[in-house]
Amino acid sequence: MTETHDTDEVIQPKRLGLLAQFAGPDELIAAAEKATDEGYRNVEAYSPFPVIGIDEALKAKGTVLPWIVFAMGLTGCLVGLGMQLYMNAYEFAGAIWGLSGYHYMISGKPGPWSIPAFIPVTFELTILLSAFGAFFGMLVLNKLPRLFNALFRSNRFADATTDGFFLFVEATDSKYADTETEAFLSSIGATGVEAIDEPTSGHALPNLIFLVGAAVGTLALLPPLYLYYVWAAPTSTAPRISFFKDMEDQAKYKAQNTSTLFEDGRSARPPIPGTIARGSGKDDIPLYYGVQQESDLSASNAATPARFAAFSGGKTPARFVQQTESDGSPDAGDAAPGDDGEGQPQDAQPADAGAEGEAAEPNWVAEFPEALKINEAFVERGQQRYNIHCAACHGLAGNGDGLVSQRAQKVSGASWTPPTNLHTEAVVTQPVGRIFDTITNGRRKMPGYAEHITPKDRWAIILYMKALQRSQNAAAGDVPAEVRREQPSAS
Amino acid sequence: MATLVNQDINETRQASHGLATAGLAPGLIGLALLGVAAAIGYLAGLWQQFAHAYLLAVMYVTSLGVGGLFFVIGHHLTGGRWGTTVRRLAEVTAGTIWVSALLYIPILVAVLVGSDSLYPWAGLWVEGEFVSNDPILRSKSVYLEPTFFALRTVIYFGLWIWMSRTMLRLSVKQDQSDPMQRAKSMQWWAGPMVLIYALSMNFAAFDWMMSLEPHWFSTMFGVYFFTGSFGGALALTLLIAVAAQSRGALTQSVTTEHLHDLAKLMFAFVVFWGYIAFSQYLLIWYAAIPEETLWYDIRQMGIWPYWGLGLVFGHLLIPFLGFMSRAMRRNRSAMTGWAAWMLVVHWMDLAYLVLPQVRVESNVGITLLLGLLTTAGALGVFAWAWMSSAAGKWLLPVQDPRLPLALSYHNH
Repeated sequence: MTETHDTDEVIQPKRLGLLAQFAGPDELIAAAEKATDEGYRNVEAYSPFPVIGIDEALKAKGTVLPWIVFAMGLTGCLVGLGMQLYMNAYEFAGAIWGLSGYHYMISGKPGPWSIPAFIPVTFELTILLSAFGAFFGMLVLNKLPRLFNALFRSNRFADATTDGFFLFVEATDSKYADTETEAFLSSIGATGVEAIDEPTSGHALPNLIFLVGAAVGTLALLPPLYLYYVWAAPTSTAPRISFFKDMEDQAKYKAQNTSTLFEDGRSARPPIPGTIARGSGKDDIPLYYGVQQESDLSASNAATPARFAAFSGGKTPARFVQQTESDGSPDAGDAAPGDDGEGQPQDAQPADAGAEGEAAEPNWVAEFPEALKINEAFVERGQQRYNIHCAACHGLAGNGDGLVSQRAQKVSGASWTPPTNLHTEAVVTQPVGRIFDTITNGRRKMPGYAEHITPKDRWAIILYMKALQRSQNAAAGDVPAEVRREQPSAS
Repeated sequence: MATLVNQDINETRQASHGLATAGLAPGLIGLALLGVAAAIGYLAGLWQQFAHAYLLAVMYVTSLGVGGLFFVIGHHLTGGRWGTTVRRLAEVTAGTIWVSALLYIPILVAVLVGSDSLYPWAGLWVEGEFVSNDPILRSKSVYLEPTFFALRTVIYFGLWIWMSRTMLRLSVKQDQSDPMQRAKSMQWWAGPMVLIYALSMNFAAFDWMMSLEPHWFSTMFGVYFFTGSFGGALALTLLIAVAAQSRGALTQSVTTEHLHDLAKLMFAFVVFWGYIAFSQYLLIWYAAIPEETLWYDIRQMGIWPYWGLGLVFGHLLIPFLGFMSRAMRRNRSAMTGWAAWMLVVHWMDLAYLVLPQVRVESNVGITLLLGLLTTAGALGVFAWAWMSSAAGKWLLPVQDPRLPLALSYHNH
């Protein structure tokens, strides 16, 4: 590159065009009009401020930029929409390389075409690509960025940012000829005409830049090399540098540590007499577990849901100890129709468990625990909790036709296990303790609700459930006469 | 172009005094149409349909008036230049708000006597007692109380009439004396006014149209009403300017540049309307909470889903692509057509807000017909108010210090 400094060789400068200066904006417009009327087309105007009317005078072609922006915007719109439809709406069974999208259920909305959910991304991509189109399209159309323009070599041209008005007739114009064009520009009122040549020298980068660049690049290698050296062969005996000291050393005790602060030398404190730890204090066995006595609970895994015990086929310690009165074919047979109602084939696990004879039923309580006050308020509480936690699947009346179930049946069809109908014989005859256990720990597809519903509320729900069951087998005579008149057969 | 300021003026710049008389014809025809619609509603037992159609008509002319008011306030607030040439037109449009107030009085009377033909909550007040046990309505009953409602309505109209009259008065005074001082004083008022405007506009939309479905709420509703209104007022301003030019007025002052700017702002509000309408819809659609979806649920019945799609296309997509191009926005006759289009879809938009709330089984075609009749009637009265207000006034603020800049204004 540096060879271009050689001036021994004579290079003919290339003529780029003629720069003509004019006195003011009106003269510039007039001159531009004359020039284009004469037939010149490759003419450019330069002025310190945008001159209104110069575009028309130059007979400038309209810009194609809006179309670029439009095309980019349209691309963004279609790509955004298509991408989401491909990724979130359809699954392709035979897609190569596993390039299939997922059919997402978006907020339980119908169909794969959840258009409203796709709009924000579509909109953003439209805007993004339009903006790219506008910005980069402008740069490309203006041939920017450009490091150098021959016009800047003209001293006269410096005035273009203050009070100079210029026309530049490019040598590429078909009508261009050095002398004729110069004469023409003078004739239309130019105060000065100057030829602009392509510079023959001075466009190489100075050697100094390469020297400085090489030096800086070499120096920049030193810190990482030093770090590598220190890391590879540490010699220091000083403790390592800690960047986040307050995080590494915190003013607290870790578990099972010693402390000089307390007399017994332990950092952990024993429970204060009279306090109850979380999860303990459930002395009322019927109330908290739905079984008669503590011996019904296996101490080792009291918290394991019954269904896990059933699933594992008794290989892990059974949750419930076996009952002495077990008659060989335990109650698991009852449990299957009682819980899945319709007896779905894939729900055969309880039967398996029964066959192995490991998960026998404990002594469920058949009556509500004595700690509860059974009254109308308690039923109403149960109704309220039931409608919140249970009705979505089991239905408001307990028929197993809740909205979630209806919807799931519509979407998944036969693969959906419908929730239990609470009015089947098996459920009606179930001891309340077992229902309590179902709510607490869940049963097959039904999850446990221990986290969501307090034990007393679980009992309230069971009470309300009993009321629902009663209502299904009620005679007209059960309804008080005055209520009967107000509520016709619709209820 | 740049020398327009120095040209001889051969355009009409002052509205004739006869305009007031000429306006009587549309005014009387308008009143007659309103009477006919009321008679049909009363005699055919379509009172509730008529009530909704009438509210739609009143809301339509109100929206144009308050849209014009925002143009004036926004113009002063931003120190706009190009808007100076059409500012007087918008000022006169804003000056018609008192007619909307008068037209609203029958509705107010109906609310005060406890008629629920329009607002269901109004019928739940019996002798000052709220008689419904609906927990949602009970908790809203403090706000949706007829006397309080009437008080608020009076306040909204009072504020708008005060703002529009203040602006018009100062602007007309500017034509005679102290142009610089008047310009500054209008600019000063624009600040507090825009705050008052934003609040009153939101609550007016809540009270008059959102409370048609008292269970429902949307914080976006006021903005939604505003975007449509301002878009409509811009379209109206463009149409009035073109109409004035066809009668030889403002032919030099209002150039392609000014129409282009009106068109640009109109385009912006096409997009903004779509943005706001979709924002309101998306959140409600996504959450799918019954108390929020209720309103759209009503609009998923009968013809209204198609009407809603018509709005998506007519109020957003078609005009968006239609006058997206600069060449189109600078095309005077095409933009006249688009302005008329926008006024029609603005009516459709308000109809979408009001008419589905009719709570009786009825033929929606009849309701729409009543809506068209009442709207035509209200527009007649609006035209009379506009013309009588413009009569004898300068059609552009001739002494405004920014007028020379506005006249020589040029889009780059």
